[in-house]
Amino acid sequence: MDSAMVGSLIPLMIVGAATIIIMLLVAVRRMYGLTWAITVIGLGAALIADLIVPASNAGAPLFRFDAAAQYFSALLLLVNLIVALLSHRFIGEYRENREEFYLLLLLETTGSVMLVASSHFISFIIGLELLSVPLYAMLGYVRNSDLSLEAATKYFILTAVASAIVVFGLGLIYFQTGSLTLSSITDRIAASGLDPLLVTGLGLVFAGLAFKLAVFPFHMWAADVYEGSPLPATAVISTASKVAVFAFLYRMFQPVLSHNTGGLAVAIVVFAAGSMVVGNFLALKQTNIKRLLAYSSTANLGYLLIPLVSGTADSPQAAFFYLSVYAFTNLGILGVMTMRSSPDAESTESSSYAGLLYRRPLLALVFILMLLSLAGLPISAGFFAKLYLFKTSIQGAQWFLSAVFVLASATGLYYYLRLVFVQTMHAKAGVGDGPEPAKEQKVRNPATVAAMLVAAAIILVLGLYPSLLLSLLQSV
Amino acid sequence: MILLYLILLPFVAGIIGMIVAPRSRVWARAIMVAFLAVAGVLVAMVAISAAGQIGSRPQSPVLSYAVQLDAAWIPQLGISFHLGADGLTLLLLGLTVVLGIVALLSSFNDARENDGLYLFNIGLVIAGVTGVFLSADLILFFLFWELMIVPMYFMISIWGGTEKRQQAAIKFFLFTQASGLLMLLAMLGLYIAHGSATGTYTFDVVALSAWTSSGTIPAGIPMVLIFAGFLAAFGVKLAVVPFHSWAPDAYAEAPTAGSILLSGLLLKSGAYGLLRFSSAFFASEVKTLAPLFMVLGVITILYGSILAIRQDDLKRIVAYSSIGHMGFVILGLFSWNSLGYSGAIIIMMSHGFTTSALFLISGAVGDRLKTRDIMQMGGMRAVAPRLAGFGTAFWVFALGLPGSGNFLGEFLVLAGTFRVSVLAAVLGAIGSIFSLVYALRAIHRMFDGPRIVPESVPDFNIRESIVTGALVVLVLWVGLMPATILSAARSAAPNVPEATGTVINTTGGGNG
Repeated sequence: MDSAMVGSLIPLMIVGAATIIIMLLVAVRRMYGLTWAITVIGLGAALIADLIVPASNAGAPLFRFDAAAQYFSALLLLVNLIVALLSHRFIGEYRENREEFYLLLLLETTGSVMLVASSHFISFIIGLELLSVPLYAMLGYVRNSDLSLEAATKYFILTAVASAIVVFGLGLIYFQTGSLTLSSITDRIAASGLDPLLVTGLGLVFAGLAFKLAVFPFHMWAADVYEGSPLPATAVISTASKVAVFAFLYRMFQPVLSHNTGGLAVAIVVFAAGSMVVGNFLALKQTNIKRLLAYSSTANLGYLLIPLVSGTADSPQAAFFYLSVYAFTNLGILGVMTMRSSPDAESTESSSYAGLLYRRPLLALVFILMLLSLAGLPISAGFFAKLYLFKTSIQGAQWFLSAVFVLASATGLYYYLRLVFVQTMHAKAGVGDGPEPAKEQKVRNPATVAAMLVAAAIILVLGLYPSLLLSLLQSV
Repeated sequence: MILLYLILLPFVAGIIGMIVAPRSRVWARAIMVAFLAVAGVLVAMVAISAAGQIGSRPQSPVLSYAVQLDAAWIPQLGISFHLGADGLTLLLLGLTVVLGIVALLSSFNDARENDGLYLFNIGLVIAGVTGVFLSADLILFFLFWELMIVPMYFMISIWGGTEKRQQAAIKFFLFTQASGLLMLLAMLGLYIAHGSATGTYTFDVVALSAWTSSGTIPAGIPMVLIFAGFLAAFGVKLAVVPFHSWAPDAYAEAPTAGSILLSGLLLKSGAYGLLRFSSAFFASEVKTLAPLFMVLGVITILYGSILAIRQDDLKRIVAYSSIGHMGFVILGLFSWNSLGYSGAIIIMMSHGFTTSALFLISGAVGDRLKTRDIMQMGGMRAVAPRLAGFGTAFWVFALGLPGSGNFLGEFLVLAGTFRVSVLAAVLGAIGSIFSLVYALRAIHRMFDGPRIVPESVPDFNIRESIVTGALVVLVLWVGLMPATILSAARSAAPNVPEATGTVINTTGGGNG
C-alpha cells in the first residue's frame, strides 16, 4: 500500500472515525445535538478530504480510487451530508433512541463509498452489505409504526435474496475466470469470448443489483418500502443507495457490454423499457407522494439504463449527470416533505400540499422546481439531464429505447405537473388525509432548510449552467 | 453584450419591483418602466448601429443576424449562448418594450395581494419574450419559451379574474407545454439529422439554417414532420383553430396586464417563431404544407370573427377578434411571398398595439363597472367621454380602418394571398367584414344607446389617457409610415420569394 493509496482512503477513515466516536459517545451519554454535529462535521470533513486528495489509478487489489470513484465518493458524501441535515428535526422529534440513526447513516455512507471504489468481488460484497444492513435498521427506525416495520422486513428479506443471487453470480464468474478482480471479467471475454456460464453469472449479478435498484421486473417492493419508511430513511434509499449501486453497476457492466454480449444486452434493453413503461404507468394513479416517488424511481432507473446499452463516447457523462441530478432532486422533494412531517404524522398525501404556495411559498417553490426537474422541464437541471440522455441514446442508435424514453417522459409530465398544480390551488378546508392546513405548525429548522436549499441551488445552477458539472464529468 | 442586457433589464426590473412594491406600488412601477425605457433606448441604439444591414435584402438564403453575441455555454451538447438580432427581431423588441410599459401602467388594479410577486412575474414574462426574440440557438429558444409560460401560468392562476381561473391557467399551461414538447422533439430531430449527416452536433440556428438551405439534406429525413413539430408549438401560441381553445379562457381570466402580455407578446412569440424558422429552415416544406395551412388560416379568420360577434364579455370579444387577426398572419406566411410576409409582420405590430389597448380598456371598464358584460354598459360616452373616444378609436382600428396598421397589414396579406389562391383571399376578405360587425356592435353597446351605467363612472385619468393616446399614435404610425417596418421585414426573410410585379414599392423608402 503506497502513500497515494493511503491518501485516497482518508475520507473513509474520517467517516469511520466519526462512526467510532459516536458509538463510544452513545455508550457514555446520549447527546443528540453533539451526535448530530459529529456526523455533519465528519461527513463534511470527509467530503473536503475527498475533493483535495488527487485521484490515483494505481491501487491495491481491493479498491481503485480513480477519478470516477472519487466523483461518486464526493457525491455520496454530499448526499449523506444533506440527509443528515434534513434528519435533524425529524429524528430529533422521535421519542425513543435517536442517536443511533446517525450511526447507521455513517455506516451506510462507509458502505456506499466502499462500493463505488471497489475493484474486487470481496470489497464489492462487503460494500454492498455495509450499505444494505444499516438500511434495514433505518427503514424500521420508527419502531412503533407497523408500516415502518413492514418496510424494513420486506426490504430485508428481498435484498437478502438479491444479495444471495449476486453472490451466486459472482461464484459462477469466479468458476470461469479463476479470479476475484473485476478486471478479470473483461480480460477473460477479450481472451476467449463469452461462454454461457459467464453470461449467466453476469446476468445473476445484474439481476441482484437490479433488485436493489427496483428496476423492472424487480420493482414490486419499492412502493411499500418507500411508503412505510421514515422520511430520512426514504431519502437514503432513494438517493444514496441508488447512486452507489447504480454507479457500481455502470462501472462493472459498461466494459462488459462493449463486447458483444448478445442476450445480456437484450435483457438490459427489456429491463430499461419495462422500467420506463411500468414505472410511469404505476405512478400515474398514486396520490401518496412517497409511492409516487418509488414508481418514479423505477422509471428513472429505466432511463439510466439507456446509456449503458447505447455505449457512445459520452454515455458515462450522460448517465452520471442524470444520476447526480436525480439524487439531488429527490433530496429536495423529501426535504420539503420532511419540513412538514414528524415521525408520528408524515404528510405524504398529495392533497395535504394543496395551496402550499400560499402558505409556505419557499417550500412550494423548492418543491415545484424539483418536480419540474423530474418532469424534465427547463430552468432545472432535469431538462439538460434528459436532453443529454436522449442525445446519447440517439447517437447510440437505440431507436426503440429512445421512442420509449420520449413517450415515458411525456407520461411522467402528467403526474409531476399534477403535483405542481395541486400546490397552486387554493386549499379547501378539511380535504386530505394529512395534517389540516389550518393547524399546520410552521417549522423553521435551519438545518433542514439548509439541506433543502442546497439541493434546490444545485438543481437551479445546473439548470442554468450544466457545463459546471459536465466538464467535471468529462475527466471521469 | 447589449443583447444580453436587453434580457437582463426586465428581469432585474422585476426583482427591484418585487422589493419596492410593498413600500410603494407607484414607485415600483415607475422604476420598472424606467428600466424598460432604458431597454428601449438600447434597442434603438442597436437598430441605428445596424441600420445598414437591416434595410437591405440579404443575398444569401442563409439566415444571418446583424448583431450577435455568441458565447460557449454547454459545448458538450453543442449548445451555445447565441443571441442574434436582425430587423424583425428589433421591431419585435420595440414592441416588447412598449407593451411591457403599457402592461405595467395598466396593472395598478390587478394584484390586490402579493403585488411584488405580480410585478416580478411581469418582469419575468418580458425577459422571457425578449429572450425568445433574441435566441439564435434552438435550446436557448426553448428555454426562454418555457420561461415565459411559467410566470404567465402563475399570473392567471393567482391573480386571475373569476373562479374559473385555475382551469384556464392549467389549460393554458398544458396546451403550450404539450405543443412545446413537440417543438422540442422537432428541434432534436433537426439536431440529430444535422449531427448524423455532418458529424457536428449543434443547436445553432445559423449553422442549421446554412445546412437546410444548402440543399444537401440526405433523403429520408422527414423535414415535413420536423416542421410540423415547430408548427404545433407556434400554432398553439397563435391560437390557430383547432389549437385555440385555451385562448379565450386564458385571455378572459388573466388580469389586465396578463391579457396584454399574453395577446401582445406571447402570441407574437408564436408568430415570430413561425416567421423565423419557416424562413430559416423550412423554405421548401412551407410549400408542401401551404394548402393545409391556408385552409386553417381562413378558418381561423372566419371562426374568430364570427365568434367575436356572439360574445357579451368584453374580454372575450377582444380574445376572439385577436384569434381572427392571427389567421391573417398564418395566411400571410403561407402565401409565401414577400407581400404576405411583410403583411404578417405589419399585422403583428399593429395587432400588438391595438389589442393591448383594447384589453387595457376592457380592464379599465371592468374595474369601473365591476362587470365586463357589454349588454350592461350602454351610454358610456356621456359619462366618460375620453374612455369612449379611445375605445371607439381602437375598435375602429381593429376592424381595419384604412390608415391604421391593421388595414395595411390585412391588405398586404390579402394581396399576397391573392397571387396564390383567389378563394382564400376572398374568404379572408369576408372575414374582415365580420370584424366590422363585432367592432361596431361593441362600440354601440358600450358607448352609445340609452345610458345604463351609473353617472359616477370615472373617466380615463391622465395616466390611462396618455398610454392609450400613445398607442393611437403607434397604430397610425404603422399604418401611415410603414417604410421602416417593411424594409426591416424584407431583411428578415432571405428565403421568401419576392412577389413579382410588386404592388407596393417597398425599397423606395417612401412613406407608404
